[in-house]
Amino acid sequence: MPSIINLEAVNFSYPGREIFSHLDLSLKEGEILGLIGPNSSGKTTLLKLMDGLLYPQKGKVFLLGKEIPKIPRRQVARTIAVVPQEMEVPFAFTVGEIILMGRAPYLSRFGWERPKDLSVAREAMALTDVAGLEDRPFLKLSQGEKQRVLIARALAQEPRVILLDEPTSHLDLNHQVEINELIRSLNFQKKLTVLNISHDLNLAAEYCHRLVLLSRGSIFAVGTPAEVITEENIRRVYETNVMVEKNPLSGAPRVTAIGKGRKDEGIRQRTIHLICGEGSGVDSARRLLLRGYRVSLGALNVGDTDQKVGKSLGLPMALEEPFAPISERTLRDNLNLMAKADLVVVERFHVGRGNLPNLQAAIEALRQGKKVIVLENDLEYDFTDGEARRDYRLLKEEGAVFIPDHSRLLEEAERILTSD
Amino acid sequence: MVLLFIGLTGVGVLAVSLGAVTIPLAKTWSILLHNFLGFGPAGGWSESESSIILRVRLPRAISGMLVGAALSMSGAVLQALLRNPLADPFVLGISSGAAVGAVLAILFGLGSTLLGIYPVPAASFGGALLTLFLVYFIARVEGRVPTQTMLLAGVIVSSFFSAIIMFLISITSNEQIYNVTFWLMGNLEYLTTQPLGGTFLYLLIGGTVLFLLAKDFNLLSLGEETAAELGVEVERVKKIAFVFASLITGAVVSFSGLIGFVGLVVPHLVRMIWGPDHRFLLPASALMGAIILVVADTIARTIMAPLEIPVGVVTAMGGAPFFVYLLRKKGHAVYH
Repeated sequence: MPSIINLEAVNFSYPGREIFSHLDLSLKEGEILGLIGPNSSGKTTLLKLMDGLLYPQKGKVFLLGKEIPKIPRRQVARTIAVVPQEMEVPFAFTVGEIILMGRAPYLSRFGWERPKDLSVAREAMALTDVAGLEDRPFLKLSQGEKQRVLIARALAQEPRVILLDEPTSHLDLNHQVEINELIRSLNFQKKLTVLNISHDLNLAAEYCHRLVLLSRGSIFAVGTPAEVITEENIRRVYETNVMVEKNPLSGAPRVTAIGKGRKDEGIRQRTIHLICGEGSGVDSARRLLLRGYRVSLGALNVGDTDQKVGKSLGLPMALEEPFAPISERTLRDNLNLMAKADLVVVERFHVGRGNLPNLQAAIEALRQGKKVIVLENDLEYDFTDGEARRDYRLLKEEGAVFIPDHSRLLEEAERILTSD
Repeated sequence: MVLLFIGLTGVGVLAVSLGAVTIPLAKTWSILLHNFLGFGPAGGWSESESSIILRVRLPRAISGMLVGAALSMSGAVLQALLRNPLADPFVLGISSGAAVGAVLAILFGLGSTLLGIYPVPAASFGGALLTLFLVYFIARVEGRVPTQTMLLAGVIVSSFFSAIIMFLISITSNEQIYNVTFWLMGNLEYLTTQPLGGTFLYLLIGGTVLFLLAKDFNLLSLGEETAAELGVEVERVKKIAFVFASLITGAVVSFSGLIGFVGLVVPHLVRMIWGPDHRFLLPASALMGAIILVVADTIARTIMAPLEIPVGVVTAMGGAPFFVYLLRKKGHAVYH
């Protein structure tokens, strides 16, 4: 299939924040491509790049083989229609007026709408179930009605491609299904190419030919819904445990988030001690606190990111002078905090001579019978002539539980604490 | 639209007949018809009556129409571009900028023609355009002009220019103070000597260009991104619209001074009655603005006759309460 929109080696940053680096993606003629990913993974930005509302700093975006900024907007608007998440209108335009604005790329400079424009708009209204609303002010509609009107306006553009930014987020169940069915039938009958941003993984899996899973500005996975929506992919990208099974009616993958229910309320009120530094403990501390655990930190230099966050959260901490190596006394403070904790977690940080005592403290805790979870650390820069490596080996030998990344932390912690 | 035309003609004739010396409507009609369309009896009025009508009141009524039309149209355009029903040439400081230009020209004695151009309107347009670029420059964030910063910049720039005007007034000789101050308050008295034809030409050009962009204003009022998605070359349209909106504003401020509220209220009024489609809104606002300003000026001339009060005082006194009424009545849904 030839591609309609093509992104080649696209780099894009907002000032001070890089979103995409070297992104390649093509929207193929006649497909329904779903764009999924957690909040701020770059979905809407990607849509705006495809539509030429944003320009990449490096790389190129092509529409039907032509570079998009060089095509007049009128031309683009006859090919691509966009359905935004929502639209604020400061004046009381009626629904009919709003939908007829979809004909703007076809009107002449002096033009009022011709009969053909009216009939196209009427057909779009019938398809989206908003016929009869044409004289109502757009402002007065419900969210769901507004969304359907915006889809009608996009259809009135008679586009070859339609880009939808969460088109069904405000719709109730029947309209969600209806709009998705409509998109699929337009795709089938009119060969409309569709890009659909969706928060609803199940609807995306059900209606899209291909899915792109975005994670922090890069494509984590791309392929058929069954290839993309796997327990492993979703857990890694959304950092949540899910169960994926096959929808018995359609065969599409179906995702169920695994809640914790009430079964583990007993393990709350337990204390978890984080050995961290350089901000490595911030995320875990927040998530553990939210789950109801008590958290302590150590040993940290005053001024370290973890120390500042710990201070603002009022957490108990073992502290050392700024930039000083960890002293005997601080090591002891750290061990005391660990003695009060039910579980120790060693975060992933750079190890040097100064914070080597943190690893030794963890080994000591293990020997005293504490449970310890360690985040795997490849020690890319070893500043200790191999001593850190030796300590990690010792941790392993003494029975610490090693996990590859944070997505398993909560699960492991709960497993260990409940088995106590 | 036809209705508005008829209204405008009626109001115009009424305005011409009223004044310190009231000339009966019928007589006014025949004077006008005889002199412009060449039919009807050529008598029944005195020389002085015909002179009052043709040389004093008619030019004044016409200039009132031009001012009202220009301010209203410019207000409607700015409201669309900024997607803010509170925008008008005043709020953005364009009027103040134009006034600074005009005051400077007046104080430096450039009242008469210089090399065949009229310095006051030219300076005024220059001031308006300069203000606009200043506001645009201050408000620009990463190549875009968000509404909020633009309005803020307008407030800042306009108070800065007000300070300049006050400074200029404070160093002016006594005799000129009266002239400048009275002019600033918004006044149609001076204009009779000014070239109405030239101003009309400015308005015709500016108004036509803006009217041709009307469809784009509809789309722009849905937001710049939406407009771009529906085929508008947003930055280009905005630049053209800003330049021509300040052209027509500058052209009329140069002889009318600061007349507020017309640009703000009239587009609201028109939207309330006929809806927000700019293809209709722009010409209708022009006509409605013309009507309203002629009415206001007639009130200004007659209410304390033979004393005249500045028309800017009348529009503000009438316009402000009207605006409050709109706000109270419709609450947040004032976005007609």
